[in-house]
Amino acid sequence: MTRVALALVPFLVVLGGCDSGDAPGKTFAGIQQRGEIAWGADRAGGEPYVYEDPADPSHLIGFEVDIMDAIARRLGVKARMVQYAWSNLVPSLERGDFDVAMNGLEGTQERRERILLSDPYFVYAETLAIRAGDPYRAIFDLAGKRVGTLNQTYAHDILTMLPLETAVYEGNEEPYSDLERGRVDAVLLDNIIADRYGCTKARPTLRCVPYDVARGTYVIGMRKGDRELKAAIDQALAAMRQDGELERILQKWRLWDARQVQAEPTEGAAVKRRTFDGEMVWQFLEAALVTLELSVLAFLIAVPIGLLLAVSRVYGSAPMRAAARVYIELFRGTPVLLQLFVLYYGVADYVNLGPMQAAVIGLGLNYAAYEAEVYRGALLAIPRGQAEASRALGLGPWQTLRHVMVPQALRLALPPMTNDFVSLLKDSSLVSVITVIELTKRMQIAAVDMRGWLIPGLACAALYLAMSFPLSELARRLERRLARDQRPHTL
Amino acid sequence: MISVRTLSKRHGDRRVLEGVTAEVARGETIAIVGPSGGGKSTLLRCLNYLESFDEGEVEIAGTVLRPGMGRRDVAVLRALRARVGMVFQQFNLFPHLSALENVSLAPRIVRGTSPVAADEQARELLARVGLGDRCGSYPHELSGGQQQRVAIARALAMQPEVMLFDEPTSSLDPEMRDEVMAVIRGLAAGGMTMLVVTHEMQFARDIATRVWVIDRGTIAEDGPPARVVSDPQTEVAREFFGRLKR
Repeated sequence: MTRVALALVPFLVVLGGCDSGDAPGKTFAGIQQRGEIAWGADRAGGEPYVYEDPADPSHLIGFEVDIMDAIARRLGVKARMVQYAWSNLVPSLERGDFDVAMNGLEGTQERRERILLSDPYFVYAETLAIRAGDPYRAIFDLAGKRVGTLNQTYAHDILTMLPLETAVYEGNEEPYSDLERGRVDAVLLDNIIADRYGCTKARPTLRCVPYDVARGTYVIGMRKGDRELKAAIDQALAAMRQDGELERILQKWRLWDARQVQAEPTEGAAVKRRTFDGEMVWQFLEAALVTLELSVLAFLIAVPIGLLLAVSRVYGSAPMRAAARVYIELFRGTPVLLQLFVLYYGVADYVNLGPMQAAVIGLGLNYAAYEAEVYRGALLAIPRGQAEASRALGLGPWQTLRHVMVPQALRLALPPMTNDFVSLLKDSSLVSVITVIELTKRMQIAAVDMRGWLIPGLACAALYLAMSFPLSELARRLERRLARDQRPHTL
Repeated sequence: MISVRTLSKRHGDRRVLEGVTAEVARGETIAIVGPSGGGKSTLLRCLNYLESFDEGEVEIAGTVLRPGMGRRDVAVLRALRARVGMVFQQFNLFPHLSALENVSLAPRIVRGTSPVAADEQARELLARVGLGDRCGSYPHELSGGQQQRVAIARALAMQPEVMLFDEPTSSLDPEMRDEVMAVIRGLAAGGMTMLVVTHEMQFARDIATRVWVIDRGTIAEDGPPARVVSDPQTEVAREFFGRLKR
C-alpha cells in the first residue's frame, strides 16, 4: 500500500499545481456590465446568516443579505443571491458559477491559499458548549471525548489537531440536541451559532464556556485574479466601517460586540495540506471497514424482516397482508435519508440510539421493504405443485414454508439479493448525515484536506469495488451450487 | 377403508363432481379412467382434501372429511395426509433436496424420526424402487421415470394405508412408463390400497381389482376390469373405450 501511495505522489503535485487562477480576472467588469453581483450562499445555514423570512418565505433575509446589499449599492449594482450547498461554495466559486461567495466563510490560511479573500466583515469567536453540570473549562479538558462541530469549518480544523474524537454534523441544530442527549460531550462552533442554537433558553441544560477558544473572521471569497473586485469590495467595507453602516447592520441583528473593534485576529494555519500517505490509506481502510460492517449488519436485519413481510403478504390473513403492505409502501416510498433523520434525531427523546446503531437499524428497516418484494416475487414463482406435494406429505403450513417454500424462494432470490446488497453497500454512504464516518464521507474529508477529488475519489471507488466484486463472485458461486437445476433456457 | 357418500363439487356454475358414492375395501386397487375433464383428478384430490367439496362426506383411513374444513382442521388433515400417500403427474419433487432428502424429509419433520433412522428407511425405499445407487442425486439429474419412482418412495416413507396416484405415467416417455408401472404393480401385489387415475388401459386391466369410469362428475360404471373394459354396460363407457380403440 505504501508503494501505491508513493506512486500517487507525482499526480498530487500535478493536481495541486494546476492553479491558473492568477491571471487577471474579468469578474468585476462583468458585474459592472450586468449591473448585478451574484453571490453564492446556502439558505440552509439558517438564521442569522441568510434565511427565508418567516413572514414571507419567498424573501431572503439575514445580516449577510444586508451587508451584501450595502456593498452592491456602494458598487452601483444590485445583489442577487444564488443558492448553493455550503460545502460546495468554494469549488462552485472557482468554477465560475457566481461572482463571490459570502456565507460565514472563515478567513483560514488554507482558504487564503486557495482563493482571494476580502477584508473581514465580522469577527467571531469559537465557542465551546458543554452540559451545565460537566466540569470542562477549556477545550483541552476534552481529551479522548467526543466533540461535535460542522464540516469544513475552522472549528473542525482545530478539533482534528486535538487528541479527541470529532463528530461532524451538517446542520446547526443537531450538534446541540445531541449534546443535550449525551451523544457528544461538547460542541465547538462559532459564537453566532452557539448563541442562537446552543446556549439558549430552550436548552437550559447547556452552558457555553465563557472564554473564546479562538477568534476568526468572516470574509467574502473571490476567484484568484479578481484583484480589482477585491479592491472594490474592501473599499466598500472600509467605508461601511467608517460611516457606521456595518455597525448598524450588526446591531440590527444583535451581532455587534466588543470583538468587532479589537485588533483583527487571524486564524492560524490549522492543518497542513495532506497527501495520500500511509496514514490516509489507513483511514480509508478503516472507513471501508465501517461501510462493510454497516452493510452486513443492516442486511442481516433486512433479510429476516423482508422474509416475514413477504410471507405475511403472500400467505397472511387480511390484517397481516395490510400491515405488511403499509410497511413496504412506507419504507419504500419515503427517502432513506428522511428515515435516518427521524430514527436518529426525531425519536431521540424516546429511543436514544448511537449513530452506528441508528444507521444499521435505519438501513436494515429500509432494505427490508425491498427484500420483501424480492421474496414475494420468488415465493410466487415457485410451482404450485411444490406446496401441494408438501401438504400431501402431511407437513403443516409452517413446515411447508420452512422446508419447501423458503429454501426455494431464497435460491430464486439470490441474484436480486446480491444486487440489493451491492446497492446497500453504496447507499450506506447516506449515514454520514448522522455523523458516521464511512467510506464516502472519508473521501469527502480527504478531498478537502488534499484540495482535490481525483485521488481520494479513485481510492474510494477502488475500495467499493474491492468490497462489491468478491461479493458478486461469492454470490455467483453460491448460485451455481444452490441453483444447480436453474440453467438458462435456450431461446 | 374408503367410503365416499354423495360427494358434490362445483366450480362456479359448473358441476365438477355430482353425488359420487363409492366404497373401497382394504387391499383393493381401483383404476380410475374416463375422458379428460370428467372429474377423475378432482375426485382423487378430494380424498386427501387437497381440494375441498361442497356436499357429501368422505371417510378414509378412519378420518371423516366434510365440506368447509379449513384452518381449524389443519391438525386433522395433516394426520390424515400422513396416512394417505399421493403421487402427482408432474412428480413435484423438491428440487433443492437430493433424492434421499426428498424421501426422508416428511418422516423427519412430521413424524420426528431421527435423521439416521429416516435416512436408513429412505435408502431402503429407494432401493425398493430400483434407485439404491441414486440417493445423492438431485431431481434435475434424474430422468422422468427415476423422478417418479423417487416420488413414490417419498410417499411410501410415511407408511401410508392408502396411495393415490394422479396420472403417474402421463408425462413420461413410453420406455419410462414401464419402470414406474412395475413399481406400482409391486405395491398392488403387496396388498396396498390404491386409487390410480390412468389412461393406460392395459395397465388398468392388469393391476386393478375394479375399474371406475368417471364422466361428467359421476361414476358411470364400476366393476371388475375384465367386464368394464371388454363389455361396458353404459353408453358413456362404450363410447370412451370405443374411442380408445380407434
